[in-house]
Amino acid sequence: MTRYIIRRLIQAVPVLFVVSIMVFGMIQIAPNNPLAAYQNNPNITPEDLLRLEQEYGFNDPIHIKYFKWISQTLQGNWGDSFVTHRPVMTEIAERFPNTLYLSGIAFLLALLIAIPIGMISAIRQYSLFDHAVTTFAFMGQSIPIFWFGLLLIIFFSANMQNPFAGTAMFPHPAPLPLFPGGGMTDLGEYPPDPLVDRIWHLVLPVTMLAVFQLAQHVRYMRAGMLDVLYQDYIRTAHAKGLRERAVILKHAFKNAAMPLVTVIALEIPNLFNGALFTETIFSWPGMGRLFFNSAERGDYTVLMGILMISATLIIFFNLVADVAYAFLDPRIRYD
Amino acid sequence: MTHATATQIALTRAAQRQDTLYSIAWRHFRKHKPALAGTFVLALLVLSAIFIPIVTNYDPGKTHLLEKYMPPSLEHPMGTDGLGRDMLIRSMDGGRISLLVGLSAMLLAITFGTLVGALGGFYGGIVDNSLMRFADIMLTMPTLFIAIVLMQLLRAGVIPFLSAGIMPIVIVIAVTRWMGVSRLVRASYLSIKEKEFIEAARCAGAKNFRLILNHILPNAMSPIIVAATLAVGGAIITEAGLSFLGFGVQPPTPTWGNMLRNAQSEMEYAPWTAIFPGLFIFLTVISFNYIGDGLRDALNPHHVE
Repeated sequence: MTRYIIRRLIQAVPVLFVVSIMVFGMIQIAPNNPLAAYQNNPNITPEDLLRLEQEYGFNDPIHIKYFKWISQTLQGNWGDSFVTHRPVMTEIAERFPNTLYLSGIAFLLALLIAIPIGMISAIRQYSLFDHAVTTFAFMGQSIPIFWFGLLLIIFFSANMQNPFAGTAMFPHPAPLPLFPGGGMTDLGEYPPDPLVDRIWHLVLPVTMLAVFQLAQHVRYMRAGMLDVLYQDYIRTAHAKGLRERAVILKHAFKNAAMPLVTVIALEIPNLFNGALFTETIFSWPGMGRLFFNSAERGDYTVLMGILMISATLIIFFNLVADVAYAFLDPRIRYD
Repeated sequence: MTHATATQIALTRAAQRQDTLYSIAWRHFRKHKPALAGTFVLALLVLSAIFIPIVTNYDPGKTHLLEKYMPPSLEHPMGTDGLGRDMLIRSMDGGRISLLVGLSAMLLAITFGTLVGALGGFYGGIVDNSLMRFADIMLTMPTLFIAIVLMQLLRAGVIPFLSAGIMPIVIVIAVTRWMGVSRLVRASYLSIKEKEFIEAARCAGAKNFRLILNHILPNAMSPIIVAATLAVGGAIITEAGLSFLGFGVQPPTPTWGNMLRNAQSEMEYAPWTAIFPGLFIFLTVISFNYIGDGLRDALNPHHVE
């Protein structure tokens, strides 16, 4: 196993190398020029511009440029944002907690609900409950997530009043929407208690994210459970007189959860990338927005930073998924 | 013939009937109710998208400022938007673009994915290894991120021919979607190329090109058809998502995605501008997904008696 992990880690190096070339290449052919901001500045003469270009190594051959970039990146110098002129690392460190907070809660919530629902749905296959669950999962797969977010705002923010407006919990006098349509905290004159405020702002974006993930996780859990339930060892467990509860929880669950474990391991890197649509609709200052705004403004240092971190995470968690699989299923041998 | 019993007739009919994979699949598909419903809804949507703008003789782009934000009524069944344009007709006009983008992106992604998968699976060895590593690396990059960066590049006209109209979005969607197909196709090719009939064809003098195209491909079609159906739905959602973010098809050309983008700032007082375009996306995508589901069941080789 150790040898397998080491081999996989070594294999990851060339993959990361190619990824870095692709990231670098995309940015190289991109139209924007980081010095474009100076072009219309009357205090900077064309000669200055040429000198700056020379100084920043604009006219270096491409492999020298790549080498300069990658060696700095490996040393932890990710450069400054073209737009805010602050270090890329600072930009990312500022946004990441917000994303983790929103996506992490949605992720855990979806998981905690999906596991029991998927299991019950499989155990009572073809029951009314099962039909309802599979239909819901199918709809969740087909619904455009951003539209779902807009519907949440239309129904629960624009057209519903908060019944507690003006009370100790929500000092803001009525009319107050049932849930806010965006933002992380109340910036108004009458903010609610900080804890209430946080939860109040989380409800709609978390619902939007969680419902979507729930639909996917339920399918995996149900399918995993259905695969396991008709195996011989489950029949044996029943035959030796174990109670249904023990059969399901001790014998079936571990094996049934395996597909879900892989899916989850592959999804964790996305927690870093943020939930672009949710963050956009609910004006949540997370990683998704950071990437999106950087792409819009041609802030390539930030873009490269995010792409490199997220590619590394994806490769790493792919390995974690494979290893977790081997731990859960002793029949799998990697040598 | 007059003496033939009912059983005999049935038997002769069964013998005469040319059972192909597709005729069997059709018999199974007909029994899959959600898939049939999906086909029906989709046909209705496509026909409406084609004919409603023609028969109503209403210019969907023309603004009527006195009629802005009209709630749904008999005259405007889905209300009007901020420029007084009829939402139903505009949605159908946008639907043409959305469906066209979805279908073209699917065709491109499936063609490229099948090509890569077929070459990898057939030749194996270093060809297979490098192609599949390439697919892996593409999977390593977050889809939305590639889409946004690539969209910017294409729109800036880095490659002249590809920056016009719906071309950029079609390419972007295809680039982010071919990998899954190539894996499926590769797996089929790996197993089919070992079958006896391939050996027989080779003995009969068939060249590699012929084997790949005429002998293996028809037998690898089932998973490709299913993947293609599901890919249309996925492509439509991606198009809508990118247009919603402002990176897709640009106004004034309407698509369901950029209609939703406009609706974002108006939905508090004109919720119909957000509800209907999204509903059309949802109906289209769920129809394609149910059809794909039905095809997966119908094309399952275990059905073949």
